Amino acid sequence: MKRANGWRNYLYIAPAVLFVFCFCILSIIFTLFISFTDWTGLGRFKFVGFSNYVAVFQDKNFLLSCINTLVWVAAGLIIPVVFPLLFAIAITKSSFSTLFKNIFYFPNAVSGVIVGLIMTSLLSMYGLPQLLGMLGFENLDKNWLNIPYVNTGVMIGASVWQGIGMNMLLFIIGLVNMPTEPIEAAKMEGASGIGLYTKIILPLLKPTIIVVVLMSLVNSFKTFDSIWIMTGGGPYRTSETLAVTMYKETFSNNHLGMGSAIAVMLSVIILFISIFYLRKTFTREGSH
Amino acid sequence: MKKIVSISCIVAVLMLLASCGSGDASSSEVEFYTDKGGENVGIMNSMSDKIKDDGGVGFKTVGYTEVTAYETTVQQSLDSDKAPGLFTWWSGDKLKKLVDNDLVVDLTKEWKDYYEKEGVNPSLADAFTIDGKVYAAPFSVLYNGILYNKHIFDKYNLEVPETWDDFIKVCDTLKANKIDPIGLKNDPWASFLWFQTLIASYDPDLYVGLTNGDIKYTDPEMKKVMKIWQKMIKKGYFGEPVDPASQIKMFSSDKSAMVYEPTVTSATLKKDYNMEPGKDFDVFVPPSMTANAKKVIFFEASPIVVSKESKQSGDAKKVLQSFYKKDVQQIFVDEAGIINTDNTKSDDPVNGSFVKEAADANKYQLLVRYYEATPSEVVTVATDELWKFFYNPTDAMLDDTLNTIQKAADGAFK
Repeated sequence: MKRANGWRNYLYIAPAVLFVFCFCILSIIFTLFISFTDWTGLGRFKFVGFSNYVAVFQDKNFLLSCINTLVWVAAGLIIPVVFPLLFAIAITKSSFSTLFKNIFYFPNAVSGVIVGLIMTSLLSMYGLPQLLGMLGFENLDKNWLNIPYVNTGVMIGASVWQGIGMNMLLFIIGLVNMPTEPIEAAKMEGASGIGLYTKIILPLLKPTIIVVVLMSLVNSFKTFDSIWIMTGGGPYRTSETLAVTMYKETFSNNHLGMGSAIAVMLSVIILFISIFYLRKTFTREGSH
Repeated sequence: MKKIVSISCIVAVLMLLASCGSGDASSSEVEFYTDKGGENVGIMNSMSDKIKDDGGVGFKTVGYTEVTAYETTVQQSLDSDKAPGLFTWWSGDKLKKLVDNDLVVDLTKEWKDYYEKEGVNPSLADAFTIDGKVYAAPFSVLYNGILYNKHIFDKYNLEVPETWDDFIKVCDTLKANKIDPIGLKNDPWASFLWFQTLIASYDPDLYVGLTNGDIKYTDPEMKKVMKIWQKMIKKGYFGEPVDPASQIKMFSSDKSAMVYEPTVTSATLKKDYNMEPGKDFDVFVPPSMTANAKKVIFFEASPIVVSKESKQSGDAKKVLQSFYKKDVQQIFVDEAGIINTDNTKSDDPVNGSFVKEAADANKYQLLVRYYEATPSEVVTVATDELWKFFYNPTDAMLDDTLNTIQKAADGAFK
């Protein structure tokens, strides 16, 4: 009877396992395999060993996209973590918390592609630059998304804010569900203001902070849609991140081998950082 | 009972999974995939209806608007019998790759028996010929010319330039009057448009040699052409590259005087910007830099190919046999401005006249544009490098651009 139950339990999870195996595991194995070939999407695979990985590091575009990715990650850790935390603290103390929650969460309901399209129109020669030009700032009457290297900053400003709402909600949940006893005790001991937050509230909020930081980190590494919509990685590939370079090499240039090599490296980087970050954080927490 | 329900659920999931890849093999209509989706889908469906009304085999259009997604989807399906019977592709190197992998049907005989009889220009077959066999039929043939804003030209008493010096004078006058002489679009691939035009205006043979690997990008003559381009950029003849919609908007709102585009853009200017062809704008061919030399018109021939492995390949050939019939193609001319055969009539004085005039071999030399005429490995590098040069047109960058493209060409033509 017990054995029959065990068999049936496996059947329950079989569809999920099948889905994960077909659409995730097989894809990972296939990507890993073609990263060692020179496949162009047509014809037979030719095994080329590690030459795609070597070629990637010799490619100036790849190195530039690594730098751009690091810029996105740095910005993605500051804007979508610090600002939501400040907003969450302010909103939990506000009388209109529900209204503010909705206002800040609303951009999250819009897809990244739509935000990219709106921002592209807003920043086009018929948008904000023209308005500033009419106000006398003629130097700013330019297609900002076309200025190499500057456009990365413009795109970060134009798209990173979208993640603020979700992270802010997580922080609010963390703040609301926080045990009140230690805070009350600290207040009775005379703690207040910034000291109360840095010494009591933020340490108590640490599990939420860990999740938000990790999510923002992974999202920053994966940034693709807004860049693809706003600049396509251009001009002359100066605004590409690793995800855009991966897509462009794979699907635009038909270098599926090289694109897969970049995909493998990007996955390994994210996996390594995630494991390292989680292990380091929880080990420190355990040792306390 | 619970066991029966569980097993039924699993079977249902497996059947659902299996059905995902089954395709629509039973459909009587040939699937016609195209990257030229959007409003073309409706127009093509009307063409299919017309073919069916005439008793032929119809087709079902599956339109994509994202080129990369389209290319990937088609490539992945081509080695199975579920491949679409017909699909649009790119001529030149990309078509050759399909031929090299034995994925498309030889249409040489069909050209003689059907397409040419319906008025398709026989010389277009050259753009689709690989190793002596023709592997495609034209979906659209787009001829590039310089569209100019007549209001601006009239305002500054400018004439259509007949010589290169005239052209430069026109640009100088416009620049002096704070009008962008030439509007540009910032599409990643679009950097080659003026590159190809300047080479062909300088010497068409230089262009032909460059695209087939006989002449190097580092050739001194190429450097001379790049110097001309450099001078034009530095003098501010080109406006700031903007997205394609803004490029046309700037042209229609008198901010830029000329755009180098396929003449089929005339239909968009009329429909979306209320510009009357012939009255508000017109077109001319870029002048040659050599006196009495033939002017060059670049064309882009987008091919339709028949998938070899597809279950529908027999019917697909039948669709193409009807596709060029006069009444079917007239729909394409009226609705999209695309002129493929010489027995249709266009009431667009800009597009229609230009296509007719382009056929005059005594006046013009037709050349396949750079994107299709050059191996894709070279185009990929060149389009990025040419933008790099455009944004930073120094002497050092000029040399670096030509050297980098030549490196890619060395690999492609070895």
